[in-house]
Amino acid sequence: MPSVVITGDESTKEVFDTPYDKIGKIAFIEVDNQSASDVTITVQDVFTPFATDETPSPSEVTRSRKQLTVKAGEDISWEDKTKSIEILGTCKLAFSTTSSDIKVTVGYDFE
Amino acid sequence: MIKLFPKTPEILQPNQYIVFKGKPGEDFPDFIQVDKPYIVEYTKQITFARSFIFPSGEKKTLSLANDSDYENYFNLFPTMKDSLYEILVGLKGGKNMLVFIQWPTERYPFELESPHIHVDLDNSITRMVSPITVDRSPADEPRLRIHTLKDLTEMYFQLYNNGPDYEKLVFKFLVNKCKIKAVEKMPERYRVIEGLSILLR
Repeated sequence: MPSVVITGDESTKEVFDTPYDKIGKIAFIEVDNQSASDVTITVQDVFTPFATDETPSPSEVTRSRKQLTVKAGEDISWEDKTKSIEILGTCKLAFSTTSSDIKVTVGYDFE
Repeated sequence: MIKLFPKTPEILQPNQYIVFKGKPGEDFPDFIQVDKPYIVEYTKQITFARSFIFPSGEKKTLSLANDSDYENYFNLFPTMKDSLYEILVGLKGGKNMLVFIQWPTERYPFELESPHIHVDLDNSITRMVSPITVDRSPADEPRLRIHTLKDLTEMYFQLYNNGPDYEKLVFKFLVNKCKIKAVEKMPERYRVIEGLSILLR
């Protein structure tokens, strides 16, 4: 299972791109917040839907799949709460506070 | 030409026989002889996948025929007269996605005989008539089988998202490309491929 460490030094960071014929699954998220502020991290799913009868010219959509808040100085991991998160397109993390002292490890898989 | 099985059907193998059943000149292209045996000379298996992300409550009809617009056409029809495509269709992902078969245009062949219930996507009951779903033909155990021939009447998949959120549906196709040849002597064992008139009966 692949995993990646993301540094929270920008407001939004890309985690992975789901392959065309797969659905992404978040296996776990670990947040190590050694910054001076609490941080809320939003797991986003960014994709463009197929053109339908009702929406013939679709635009890119950003869906929030999960929000996690970690206090300053804490290191917390989630496994059970993230397993139901499905990513249809590109998985991104949005940070309420930016700092290079925020490290997020995301484990993921594709089905 | 279109069947939903309770389990994954066996695909055609070389030296097996098939017979096309239906109305001559109507159900099949002119070059196909109805009620005559054909032998499967060679087979070749091709895998292919398509995926679609749909908003809740939205629909789109896509053709299985060939076209350079490969977004809206699956390109699952042969181009040679001696080719038969036997296609197993498996689905993965969006559990609330419904796939309706239309053959020919805007006609739903899989309906009950009752005049009161027809496929109608505007109603929560009538959209439950014969949709193919991930549960009914899963990608790892496909149960929907379709046969296509060059110049056959066009078939369609109508996709509808019956869930509350965006859903991603993945089609996994196994195309068993069969080279067929007409033979004179009727074999003892053969597989029947039924035409449109039998399906609409």
